[in-house]
Amino acid sequence: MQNAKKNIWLRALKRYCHIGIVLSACAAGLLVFHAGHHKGIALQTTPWACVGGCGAGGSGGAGGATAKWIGRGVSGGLLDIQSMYSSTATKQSISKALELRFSIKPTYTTTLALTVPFAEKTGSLQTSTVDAPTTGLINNGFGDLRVDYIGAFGLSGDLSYDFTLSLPTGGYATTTGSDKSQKYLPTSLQLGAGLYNLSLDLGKTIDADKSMMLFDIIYSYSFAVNFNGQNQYYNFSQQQKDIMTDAQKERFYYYFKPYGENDLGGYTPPNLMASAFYGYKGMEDFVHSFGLMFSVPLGVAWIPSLKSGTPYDPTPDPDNQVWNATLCYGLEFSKSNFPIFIAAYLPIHAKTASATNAQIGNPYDIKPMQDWSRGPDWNDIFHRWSVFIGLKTFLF
Amino acid sequence: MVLNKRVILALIFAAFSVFMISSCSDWPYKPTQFVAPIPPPPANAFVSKDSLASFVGTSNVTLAYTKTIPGGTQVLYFVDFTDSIVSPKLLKRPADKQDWAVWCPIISSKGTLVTYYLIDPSNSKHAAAYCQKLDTNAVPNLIDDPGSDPHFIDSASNLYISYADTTDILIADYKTLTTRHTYKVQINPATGQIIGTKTLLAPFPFYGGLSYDSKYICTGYANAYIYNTISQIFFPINTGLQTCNPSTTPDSLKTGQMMFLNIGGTQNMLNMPAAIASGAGEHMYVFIADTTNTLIKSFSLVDMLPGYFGGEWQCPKWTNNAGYFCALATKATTADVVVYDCFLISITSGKTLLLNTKSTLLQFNSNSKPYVYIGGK
Repeated sequence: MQNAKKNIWLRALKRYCHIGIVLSACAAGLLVFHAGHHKGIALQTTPWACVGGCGAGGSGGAGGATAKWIGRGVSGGLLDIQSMYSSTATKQSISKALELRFSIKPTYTTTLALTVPFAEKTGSLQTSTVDAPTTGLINNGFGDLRVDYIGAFGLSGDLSYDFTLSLPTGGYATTTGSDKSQKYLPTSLQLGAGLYNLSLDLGKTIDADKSMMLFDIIYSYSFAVNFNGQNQYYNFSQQQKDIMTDAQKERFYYYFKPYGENDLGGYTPPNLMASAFYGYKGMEDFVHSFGLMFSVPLGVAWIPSLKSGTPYDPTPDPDNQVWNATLCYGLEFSKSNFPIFIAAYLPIHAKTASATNAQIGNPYDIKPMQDWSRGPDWNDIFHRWSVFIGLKTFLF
Repeated sequence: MVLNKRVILALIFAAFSVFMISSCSDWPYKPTQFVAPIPPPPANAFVSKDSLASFVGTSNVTLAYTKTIPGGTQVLYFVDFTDSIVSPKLLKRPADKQDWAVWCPIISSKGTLVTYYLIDPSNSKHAAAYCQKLDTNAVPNLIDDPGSDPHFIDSASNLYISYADTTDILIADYKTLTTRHTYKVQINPATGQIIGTKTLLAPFPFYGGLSYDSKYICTGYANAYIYNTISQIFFPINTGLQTCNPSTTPDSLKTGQMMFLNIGGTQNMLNMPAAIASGAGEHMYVFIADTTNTLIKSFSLVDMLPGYFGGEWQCPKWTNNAGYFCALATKATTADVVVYDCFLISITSGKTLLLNTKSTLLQFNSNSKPYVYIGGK
C-alpha cells in the first residue's frame, strides 16, 4: 500500500516537473521577447528566416507536408499574409491543403503568426489484409490551427527561435461506413491529431553576398487537454472505473495528459528534426534553395482501432517510420512586394514494419516498429512527393 | 544584458535537452496494450430456483451468454442455477485471442462443456471455434480455425462438434456455395479437446446444428434451408426472405424442424395465419417450420410480452430440451435506452419466464447471445 502511494506521488512529481519544464521554456522565450522589446536592442531579422511552422510531425499532418519558404520574402505592412497551396501524394492517398498564415511584428525582431489550414484528403481504408480496401474516401475541412512566435537574437540577429503551438481544431475521429459498421478513417486521412503540440525551433543563418545557409533544429512535443475531464469516445461503468489501475484511469479521466495520446488512443511521440538549406541569390529577383530535412520520432506512434464502437484497442503503427529524410528544392521569384515561391519535396524514409510484414505475430510489440536495420524503403521513393506554391503580400 | 541573454539561452537549451532526453526513456509515457477491466458480475440478479423449477421442472439449469464489456470486447459468462449464490461466472478466453469477440455459446447435453466461436476483430469473416469445460479455470481448446457456429452432436456414446468453416452468411443461394463446408470432429467429453481429425458433414456451410438423428441440418440468413445429410436434398424454408438465428430442433422424433427469427415483410410458408401471411414486422416473430416449409408454430412478441411493445425478439435459440427456447426481448425506455431482457419460453404453452428478474443489477446488450441448458432431459 505504501509502495502504491509512493508511486502515485512519484508519478505526480514527475508530471509536474514536466509541466514546469514546458512552462519554463515558454517563459524563457517570452523573456527573450521582453528583453528585446523593452531595451530596444536593434537586432536584425534576417529576411531568409521565414520559418512558419516546419511541420515536424506533431500535428498529425493536418495538411500534408509544410514547406519552408526560403527567399527574400516581403514584410513591411501591419499584417503580413502568406498563402501556401500544397499537394502531397503517396501510394494510398493524396492531400491537398491551403494554409493561410497571418503575421504581425510586435517588435522589430519578433513575429507573431496564426496559420489557418484547410485540407482535402483522398485515400482508402483497409481494415485488414484479407479485406478489399474501400477506395475513394474523401475528407475535407479545417485542420489544426497553429500559433507561432518567432524571435531573432545573437549579435547580428543570425540566430532565431520559434515557439509553435498547434491546436486540435481539425477533426480526428471522422468515420465512414454504414450506420451499423462505422469505421474511423485512418490517421493519414484525418484532418487533425486531436492533440496540442508545442514545438521549439532553434535556427542559425549564415548570410553571404550571393548565398545563405540556414540550419534548424526542431523539437516537437504533443500533449492532450480535455475540458470535460474524461474521454469523449470511451466510457466505462463505475464498477470498471473502480477496479482500473491508476495508469488506466489516467488514460480516460483527465484534464491534462503530458503526452500525445488522443481520446481514440492514437499516440504521437515527440519528434526531433534537423534541417539544412542552401540558398543562392546571385540572380536578381530569383532565389534558388536546396535542402535536406531529417526527422526522427522519439518513440513509436500508436494508432486507434479503426472500428467505431469496438473496444479501446490502440496498437503500434505498423507504418511507423523510424526516420524520414526529405530532399527539398525551392524557387522564389518576383518583385519585392509580391514574391511567389514554388517548391518540390521528395521524402525518403526507413522501410516500415508493414513493408516487410514484420508486425505479424504480436500486434502490441513495438520492437518491429523501431527497427533501424531495415534501411531506406527504395520501393517507395518517387511514390511520395509534395509540391508547393505560395504567395506573400501584406495589408495596411 | 549579454549575460542575461546567455542565461536565457542556456535555460532554453536546458529545457530542450531535458525534453529530448526524457523522450528517449519511458518517462513520461509510452503506450501499452489496454485490456478493459471486467467487473465482478452481480449475485442474485436472476429468477429464483423455485420459479425456475416450477417452469421447467428442475433447477438444474445453466445459462451461457455473451456480453460486450464497456470499452472491451465480448466475453462469455455462464450461470449455474444450482449454485448457492447464483452469479455469472466468467470463462477464460484463448490467450492469443483476447481481443476477439465471443459468439453463440452452446452447452453440451451433459451440461459440462460449452462450445462457441470467436470472431477476428480485423476480419468479421474469420472465426475460430472453441470448446471448454464450464469451469472458470478451464482453458479453451481450439476446435478449428476457421470454424464458426459449433454445435454438439451426441452419437451413441460419443460426443462430436459440428461447425462451418466460414461466417460468410449473406450468400443468395446456398447451393452455389460449394467452396465452404460443414465438418464434424470428435470431442473428449471430459476435457473438450478434439480427438482425431475432422470429417465432412455437408459440402455447404450450415449454422443451425444437426438434428438428434443426424439426418437434418439447417441454416439461415440470406436464405433458410433444412438439408438432408443422407439424401443431400435441400428443403427451402420461408423462401425469398432472409431469416435469422437458425437452430435445429433437439427433438428425438420430430427431427426435420428448425426455429428462426423473422425478417420483416410477407412470410412465405404454408399454414400461416392471415395476420402473418399479410406481413410481419421485423423480429416480431419466432417461427418453427418443417421440411415441407409448413409453419408449425409461431411466437408473437406483442402477444406474449405486451410490456415489450415496440421492441423485438433477438437471438432465439432452441434449448437442449425440445419444449423450450430462450431469446432476448428488447424494449426502449423513456430515456431512449434499449433494454435487453432474457426469457425462457415454453413452446407448448407459450408461457414466458424472465431470467434476469433484477434487471437493474444485470442487463444484457445488443451483442448478447444466450443459450439455456435444462438438465434431466
